[in-house]
Amino acid sequence: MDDADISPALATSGLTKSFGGRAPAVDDLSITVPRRSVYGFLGANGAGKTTTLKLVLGLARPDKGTIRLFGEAPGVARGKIGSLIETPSLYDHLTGRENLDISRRLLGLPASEIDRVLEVVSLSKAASQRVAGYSLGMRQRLAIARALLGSPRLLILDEPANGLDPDGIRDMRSLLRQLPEAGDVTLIVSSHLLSEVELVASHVGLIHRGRLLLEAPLADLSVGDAVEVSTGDNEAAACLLGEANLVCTTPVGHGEPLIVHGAPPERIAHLMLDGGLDLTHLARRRNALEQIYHEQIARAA
Amino acid sequence: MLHRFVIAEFLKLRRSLTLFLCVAAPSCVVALNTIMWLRSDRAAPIGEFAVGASSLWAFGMLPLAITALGVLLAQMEHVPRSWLHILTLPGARPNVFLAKALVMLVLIAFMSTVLWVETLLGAKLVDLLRDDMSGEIYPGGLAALLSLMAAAATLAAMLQLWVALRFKSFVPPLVLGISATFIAIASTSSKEAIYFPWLMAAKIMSEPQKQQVALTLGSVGGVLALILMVVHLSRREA
Repeated sequence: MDDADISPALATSGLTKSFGGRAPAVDDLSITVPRRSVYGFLGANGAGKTTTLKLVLGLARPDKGTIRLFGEAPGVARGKIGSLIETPSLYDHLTGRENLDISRRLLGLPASEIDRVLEVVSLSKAASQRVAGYSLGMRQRLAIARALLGSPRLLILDEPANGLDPDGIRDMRSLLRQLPEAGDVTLIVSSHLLSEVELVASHVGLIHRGRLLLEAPLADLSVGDAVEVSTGDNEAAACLLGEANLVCTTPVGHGEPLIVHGAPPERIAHLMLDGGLDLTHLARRRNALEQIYHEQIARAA
Repeated sequence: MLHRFVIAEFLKLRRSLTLFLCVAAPSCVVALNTIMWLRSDRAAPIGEFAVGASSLWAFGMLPLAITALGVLLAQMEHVPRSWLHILTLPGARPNVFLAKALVMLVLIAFMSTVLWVETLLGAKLVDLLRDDMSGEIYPGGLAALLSLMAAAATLAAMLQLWVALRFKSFVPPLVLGISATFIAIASTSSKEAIYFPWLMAAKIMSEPQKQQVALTLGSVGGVLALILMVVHLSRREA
């Protein structure tokens, strides 16, 4: 096994890009996208997500820094990448199939590849309609189908849920979930829709004003230090916890669990049982990605 | 690799305005020329019908058609922002720009062919409807003339395409093409006109003694402009 076989799908180091003497759109950005992960690339509008992806795809040149794709220079690995950047970029006067046929020929792929990708995005029936008559969701799916031509090992999707209605977002989510299951695919999904990314990503990178604030597996981030506890008598439970000098938050809603900080679940369980209370719920509280995001932004500010 | 991009460019032309333009522009010239000849009382050799069509083409319609062609070919990519997809494909730079240029030159040759066929048909129609026509039209000579004019128009075509691909807006190439056509018409009799790219095709027929100069400047200059355009656009960021 050589280096290229164990290298991450994408690794950038010190990536920097400015436009016209303004503050850097991407500033000393070093990210690592593990192979076969679904990497949620998060940030507000204008945070530098699209610029970063353009740099990775060779659409823009970095001022500084390096990019490695599967351990290789971007130019070498370009054939392994499929992408959808900013907009679906389709020819309206052509049909869905004709649009795919153009990219298929440019990539030197067999004609059967078109049917395969149409099947993946569930657009086979609409393939012979002109794209001008497509809904936004259909356009997004066709653009993803185009990005899937040739079974790329890295798929880069920039705001794939942008402008979609709730049904379109749900369809997109299920499509994104099924892609990595289909084979050796790494997926980078840039988005400002945190809740959507939370549902599909295995790893997240958070960018703010061009700088990386945070990068980690989502599972590591979402496990917080707080513990949720419910008993038959939450008021008595709160008193017990207070006597043990534990910080306890009582939610407003009736029947909601208490949130306890500064103690492992085992100790809390012992306290409740020793106090003669019926323990009905005990769990580590998961942090929502939105909460993590706002904490990180506040910290950066 | 280049052939894939050229084929892709041709596939994009299906049901496009570009193809419509390529048929409509020469057809307008022949239709106008035919109407003028049918309304005229002057007896003339039918060979002059071809001269009339070629003149209308060279001085007016060809520069305007080249302008529109460049704009349509470029806007086909600018409007859907398809550079964001195409330029990520392996080998896209510089093949995509080279393919665009080759397709434009082929389409100019196609327009010249349509003009040639329609001119012969128009002459036949005038000959049938008027009984005072004399002489005959020489298809070979007309084909040679239109071919030379197309070759001499290469420089203007590449300059138009360059500007059209460089700017997302269609305004700069339109302003360039329309202004250049007006300047060409206004300055056609000047000594320096032969050096004006938008007049080189016209000079092929209006000044036979300078035909070689116009042809060389237009075609060799066109190839140089093509190379510079491809280098420049390939280095630009999307």
